[in-house]
Amino acid sequence: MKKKKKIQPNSLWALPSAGLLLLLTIAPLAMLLLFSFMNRNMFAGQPWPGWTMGNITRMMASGTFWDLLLRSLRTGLIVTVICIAAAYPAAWAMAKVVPEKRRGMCMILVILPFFTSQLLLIYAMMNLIQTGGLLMTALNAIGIPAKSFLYTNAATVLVLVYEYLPYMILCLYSSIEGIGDNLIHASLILGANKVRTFTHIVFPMSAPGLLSGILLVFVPVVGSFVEPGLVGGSNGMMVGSLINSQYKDNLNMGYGAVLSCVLLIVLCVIMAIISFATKKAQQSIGGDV
Amino acid sequence: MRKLFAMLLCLCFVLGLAGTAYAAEEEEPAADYSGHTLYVANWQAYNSDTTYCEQAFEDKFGCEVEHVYFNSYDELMTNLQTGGNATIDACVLSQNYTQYFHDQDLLMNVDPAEIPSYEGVAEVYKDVSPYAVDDEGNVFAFPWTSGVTSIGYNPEKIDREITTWKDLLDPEFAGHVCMFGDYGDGMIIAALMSDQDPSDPENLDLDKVRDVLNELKPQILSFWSSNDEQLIPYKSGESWIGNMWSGPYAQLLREGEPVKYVHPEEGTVGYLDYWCVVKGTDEYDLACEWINWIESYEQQYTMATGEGSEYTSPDGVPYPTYAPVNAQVLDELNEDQLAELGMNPMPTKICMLNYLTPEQKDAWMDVWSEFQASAG
Repeated sequence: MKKKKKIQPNSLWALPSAGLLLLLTIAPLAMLLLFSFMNRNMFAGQPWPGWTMGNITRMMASGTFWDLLLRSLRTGLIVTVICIAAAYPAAWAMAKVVPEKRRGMCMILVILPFFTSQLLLIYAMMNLIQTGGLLMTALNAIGIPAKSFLYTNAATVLVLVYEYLPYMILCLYSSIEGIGDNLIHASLILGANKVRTFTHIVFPMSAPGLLSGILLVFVPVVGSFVEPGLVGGSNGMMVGSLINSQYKDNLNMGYGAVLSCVLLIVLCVIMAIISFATKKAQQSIGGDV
Repeated sequence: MRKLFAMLLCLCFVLGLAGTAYAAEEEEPAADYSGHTLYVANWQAYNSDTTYCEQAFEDKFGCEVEHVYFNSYDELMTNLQTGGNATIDACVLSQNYTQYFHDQDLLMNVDPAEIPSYEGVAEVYKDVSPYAVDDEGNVFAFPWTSGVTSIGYNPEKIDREITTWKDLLDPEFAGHVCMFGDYGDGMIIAALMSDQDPSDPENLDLDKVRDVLNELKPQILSFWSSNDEQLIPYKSGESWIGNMWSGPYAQLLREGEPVKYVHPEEGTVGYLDYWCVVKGTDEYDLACEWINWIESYEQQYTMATGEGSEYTSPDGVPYPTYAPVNAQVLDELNEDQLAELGMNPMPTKICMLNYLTPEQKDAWMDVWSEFQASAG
């Protein structure tokens, strides 16, 4: 006979946080799902406006939504890849090269942009890369003919990388710091070159941090709309902008909710695939380290 | 001698009394609202947050004024519908939204007698039904400023005369056109470019609008949603031409930037903005004081000319000016001041955005989103 599991008294401590999670995450998601079948809007004190499948059929038929979703995923992918490429050396340097007493200073430098508003960061970057801005003026002054790339896709990618790189560095740093120096020395002494040491020791052992970094960079970048709107120019619209406009400009919560749900599902599927692929790669390259 | 002295004494007494009465009439002490906070909703940097308006009001009434900024009236409506009316006391609304907000029971009827400055508003802006007055004659919106969104362009980049919205399609301007990202203004302009009447949304041929927007797309540099977003690329020389509010035009002119402003011959986009008291406010009296203040001759004069107030811009940059609705101020403006406000010459035809049904709104939004999302 199967024994009933007893609730440990200590687990009761988790109740408040579980309650918060339920209230702030599960309930809004459930409401989002419910609103997807709602005819336009519902406000406090007013009756339910009625059920409809119209939001879903409209979304399926909307070429605009799918085009924007692809554009956003592409931008998310580019930004994430650049962040990974830039963050690995930086995180490695912080964890393994910089003396321990200087790491705190490095950490402050990485998180310095968090001390100010994101909007200010965007405007600072705009000032830097616009025609007549600091960067363009400096380049022209030293004889390099440079044309501003503000209001292009490249500007969107640059600003998003600038904003989200610290998240990736911090995630990778926490993983890489945990890799024992002896392990790396052993690998090098036993004949593995640096590339092999990276692929068979560092990468598999830093994979959990990498996954967290991807989650913290890829997901918000795909849903971003402020940065592309400000610096992306005529092609600056992303799927987040379309969802935002349904709430902000059109007051059609039902349609906005269905677009949000689909975006959420697509992101969950992509993250599941990335997680699976990373674990597989981790196992096949480095074994169960 | 005694008689003369007595007469002089009497004269002094009478003059003194008259002077006191005059002073009392001239400077009636303002009500004290110390400890009160008034929450007003408006677009950012749209006059009411200037020092001569906000700070001067705070100094006069001893209260705090907090601005709640929004980026669209639908965003404001969402805010109010989802509980924002517990904090917001007064808000700005354009003519195509006042009736909608009133129908949603979000605005209060206000007796115009509580807003003495309302008397000074030019007759043409008063009693505008259904925008500001309901079927029973209740006033729920008080006119504040009007304006147009016409074409602003840089004459140093464009050396020919601009006369119509179709000039935006000139291949020479490809990649240098900046457009307001709002679907309402954008669709009106596209309707005018496709030789249609935007005031008749029921019979608007959206395919024709879509065709024009497809032609316009390669011309676009960026879409703006605030003064700053519009002015940054203009000043850096990246934006040459686009639809422009009259306020930023006046600002560019004052700052010595090269700019020309024309009302296109097929018609320009117009707006009339109001202040309203939000239903549920617990600062009704202060909200009425605010509207009375913002409609007063002094405020309207400074708003239209940038002059007449001891409160100046903290960074020294002159504030943008906006067209007043006060009759006396309108009479006093000279030709140059009217030109700065885009009122000299006056547009020959003004198209205002009418109230759209939800279905029409969806259809307009779809076309506009398709335009914004398409690759340039």
